[in-house]
Amino acid sequence: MKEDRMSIIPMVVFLSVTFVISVGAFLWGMKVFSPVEIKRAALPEEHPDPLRSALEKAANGLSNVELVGRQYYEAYCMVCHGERGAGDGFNAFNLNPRPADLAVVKKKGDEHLFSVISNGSASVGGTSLCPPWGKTLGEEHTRSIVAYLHTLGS
Amino acid sequence: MSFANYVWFAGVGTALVLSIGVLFIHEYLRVWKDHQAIAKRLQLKSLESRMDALASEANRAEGEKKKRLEERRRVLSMVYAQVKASPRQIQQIQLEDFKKVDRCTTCHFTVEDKGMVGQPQPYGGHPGAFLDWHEVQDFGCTICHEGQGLSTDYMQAAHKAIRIHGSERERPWPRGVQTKYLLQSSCGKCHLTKDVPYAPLLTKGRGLIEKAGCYGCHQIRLYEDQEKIAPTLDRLGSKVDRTWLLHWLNDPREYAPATGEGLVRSRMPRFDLAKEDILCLAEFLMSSKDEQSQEEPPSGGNPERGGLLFREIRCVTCHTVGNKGGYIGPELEQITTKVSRKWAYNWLINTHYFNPKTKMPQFDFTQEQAVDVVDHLWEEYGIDPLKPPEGFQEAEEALKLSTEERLTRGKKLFSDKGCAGCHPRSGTEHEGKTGRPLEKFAQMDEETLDWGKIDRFKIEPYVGNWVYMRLLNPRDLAPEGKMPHFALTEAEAALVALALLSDTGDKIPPKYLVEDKSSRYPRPPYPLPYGGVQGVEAQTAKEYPEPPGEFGRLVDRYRCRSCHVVFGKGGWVSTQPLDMEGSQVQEEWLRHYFDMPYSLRPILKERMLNLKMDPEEPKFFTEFFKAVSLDNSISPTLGSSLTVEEAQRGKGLFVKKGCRACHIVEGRGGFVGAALDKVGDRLTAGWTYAFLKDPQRYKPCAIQPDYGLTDQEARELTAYLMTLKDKGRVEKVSEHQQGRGGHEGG
Repeated sequence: MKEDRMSIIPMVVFLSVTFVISVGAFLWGMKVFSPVEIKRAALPEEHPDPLRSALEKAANGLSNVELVGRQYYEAYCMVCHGERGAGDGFNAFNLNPRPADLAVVKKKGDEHLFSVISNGSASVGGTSLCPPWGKTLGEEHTRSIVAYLHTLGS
Repeated sequence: MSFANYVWFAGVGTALVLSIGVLFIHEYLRVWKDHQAIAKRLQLKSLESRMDALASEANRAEGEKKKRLEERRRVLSMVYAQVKASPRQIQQIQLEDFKKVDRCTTCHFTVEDKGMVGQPQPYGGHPGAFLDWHEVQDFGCTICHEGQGLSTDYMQAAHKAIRIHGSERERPWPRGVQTKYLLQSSCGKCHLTKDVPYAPLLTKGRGLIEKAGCYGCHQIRLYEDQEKIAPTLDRLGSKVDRTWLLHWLNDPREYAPATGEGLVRSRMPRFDLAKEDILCLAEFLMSSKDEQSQEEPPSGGNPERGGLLFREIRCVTCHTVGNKGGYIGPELEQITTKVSRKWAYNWLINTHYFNPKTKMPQFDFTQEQAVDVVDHLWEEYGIDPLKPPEGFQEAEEALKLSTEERLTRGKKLFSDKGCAGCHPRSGTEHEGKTGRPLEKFAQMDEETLDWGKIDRFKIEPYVGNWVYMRLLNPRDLAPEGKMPHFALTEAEAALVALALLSDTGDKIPPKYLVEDKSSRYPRPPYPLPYGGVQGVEAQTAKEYPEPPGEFGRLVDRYRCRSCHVVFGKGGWVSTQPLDMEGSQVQEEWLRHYFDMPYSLRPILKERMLNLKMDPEEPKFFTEFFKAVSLDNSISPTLGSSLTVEEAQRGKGLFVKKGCRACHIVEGRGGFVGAALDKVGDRLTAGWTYAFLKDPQRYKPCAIQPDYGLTDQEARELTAYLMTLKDKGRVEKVSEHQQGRGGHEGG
C-alpha cells in the first residue's frame, strides 16, 4: 500500500505541469498568432514574373473591366470624343455643339454617365447629337465604358 | 506497478494533453476566422453607411423615386440583418456539374457585395458584372480563378502555384490562383470562340495565334482546320531574285517595311540558319521553276499612265507604298528587289495562275495596261539590285557541294524546319506538324520543360513564363531547338502566351461550353454588340452552299470574299455583307456603282476597288443580287405606301434625333456614317425601314445604334430619306452611258 500512496505524487506533479504548460502555450499562441498578418512573414519570396509584367504593360495598367470598356469606347465613342476623351475626335469638327469634354461630364457621377450613354445626351436636356447607345450596347457594355472613362484624362 | 511504469503513463498522458492542446490552439487560431470576422465588420460598416445615404436621399426625394429608394434601403437592411446573424463558419459552394467544392468565400466573405468593390483583399467585392453572368452558385470560384478550392489556408489554396523558399520548391496544387490579367485565359476554358467579348486580351491573343500561324507547326485547340497562311512556293524560281531570297531567309525583318512593329512588320520568322544551310535551302526553293514559259513584257510602257491606273484602282487599299496603305497585300516599295519586271507583268496578267489562293482579284488588264503599271512601280520605286548579305559570297565559294547534294540538303531542311506548315508546295502536302502539340498546354509541368539558359529559380517558374520567354527569344531556352524567332513585341508574346494557357484540358460539362456557331463568319474587326452577335447567328443558322455557277466564278475571280461576306463566308474588311444586297439597294444604283465605286462612309481607309469590270459583269451582278440576295424580312413594297406627310414629319425627326452627327445631308454633317445626300437613289425603302429598326441585325458591324424607334417613327424617317434624291441624276445617267466604253469606267 505504501508503494501505491507514494506513486500518486509524481503523477499529480506531471499532470499539473502538463496543464500549466498547455495553458501557457495556449495563451502564448493567442498572443503571437492573433493578428491576421500571422502568416505573411512566412510567404515565399517574390520572384520576377516577366509574363505578368508584359501583360501589365500590354493592358496599360487598366483593370479587366476597363479593358472591356476600352474596346467599346474605341469602336463607338472615340470618333467624336477623341482618344483621351477631350472632345477632339475625327468627327468632332463636324458637330455643333462640339462633343463634350468627358473630364467635365465625369464629375456628374457614374449614374449620370450611364444614363447619358444609354439614353443619349438629349435625355438629360443636351444636344441630340450623341445617340442613345443603350439598346445596342446593353447594360454591361455601357457600365464597362463608364469604368473606362474614369481612366481617361485627369 | 513500478515507478518506470508511472513515468511512462505520465509521459504519454502529457503528450496526449499537449497534442490536444495544440490541436485546439491550431483550430482556434485558423486565419479564416479572423478574416471572416474582419470582413463581416467591414461589410456591416459599409452597409450602414449605404443605408444612411439612401435614407437621406429618400428624405429629399419624392413620389416614385422615394419609394424606389426606400425599397432599396429595405433590401439592404435585410442583408444587414442576415450578415449580422450569420455564425462564423466555413462557407462552401458545391458545384455538382463541375464536381467541385469551393470554400473561397470563407475568407472572401463579401465577394458578392457590390458595395465592397475596391476594399483590400480578401474583403473586396467582385468588380464588374462578371458575377451577374456567372452566378457564384453555378460557377463557384476556382473554375475561373484556379487554385485549390477546398482549402481555407492561404498557402494550401495555392494563391501561388509554386512556392520557392530559397532553393526548395513546393507545389500544393497543379495550377495556382491566376494573376490579374492571366485570369482572362480562364475564360477560354469554356468560351471556345475566337472572339470572347469580355476578355479583350484573350481575344487579341487568339487573333495573334491566327495571324502568326502558330498552328502551322503546332496542334492548337480551336485552330484545327486552318488554311496555310503563307503564299505557295511552287514556281518560286521563276518569281523571286535569288539574292533577295538569301536576304529573306537570313533575316526577313531586314526586308520588311520599317513601319510598324511586331507581326505587323513581318510574319515570316527568322530561322537562324547557318549560311551553308541558307544557300542549300535557296537552291532547293529556286529549283521549282515555271514550266510554262512566261511572256516577255513589251517595252515602252507609260509609267505616268500606269501611276494613274494604280491610283484609280486604289491599289493602296491593300498594298503599302511610301509607308501608307493597307497590310492585306505585300508592300510594294521594295518590290523591284524581290521580283523581276517580267514576273510582275505576268502576275498582273495571270494572277490566279501564280497563286490560286491569293486575296488579290484577277484584273482584266490589257497587256498595255499591265506594262504601264509595272513600269510605274519600277520607275517610282526602282532601287539598285541587292548585294548578297554579308559573308555569303565567301560561304558560296567555300561550299563544296554539288547541285545534287545541295538540293538534297535543302529539301531535308525544308521538311525539318517545317516550312510546309505555312507554305504550300507541291510534294510536301503529306508533311505533318513539326512542333510539339500544344493541347492541354496549361497542364504542362515546368519540371519537364527545357529552361535552357534561364535560371528558373530566379523567376516565377510556371509554364506561362516559359512560353513567353521562348516566344521572345527561342534560342535562350533551346539553343538547338527548331522554333524560329518571330518578330513579336513583348506585348504580343505575352498575349499569345495568355491565349495558349487557356487550354487547360479540364473537363467542362458540355452545357457550359460556348462554341462558335458562326464559324463561317470570320471575326469582325471590332467587338460586336449583343444584337450583332445574334444577328450573325441568325443568318448562319441556315446552311449556305458555295456561290453557284457564273456568280461563283465572278466572286472567285474578283475575290469578293477577301473583303465582303458572300454566301455566309468572307471577310469583314467591308462592313457590308452582300447576302442581302438585292433587298438593300436599288437596281439602277447598283448597276452604275461598279463603274466608279466609291466609299459610302467617308471615314473608311479601305476603299472599294475599281475592278474595271467588263460592262456585262456589273449587269450580271445586279441581276443576280436582285434575284437571289434577298432577305424575306425586308418588305419589297414598303416604298409605295409611304406618304408625303410622313416624309415631312420624318424631316423633323431626322433633326430631332441628331442623325446629322454622323451622316451628311445637303452637304453638312458627320463623316462616320454613309453620306445620305442621294440615299433615295441608293437604298430601298424596305431596307431603310428594317435597318433603322434593328441596325445590327442586318449589318453586324454597323456603328449606328438602335434608337428604339417606333414603327411609325421608322416609317417617317424612311419616307424622308427616300425623298433625298440626286436631282440632276437623270441627265447624268444618260451622259454616263454615252461616255462609258470598254474599260474606261465612269
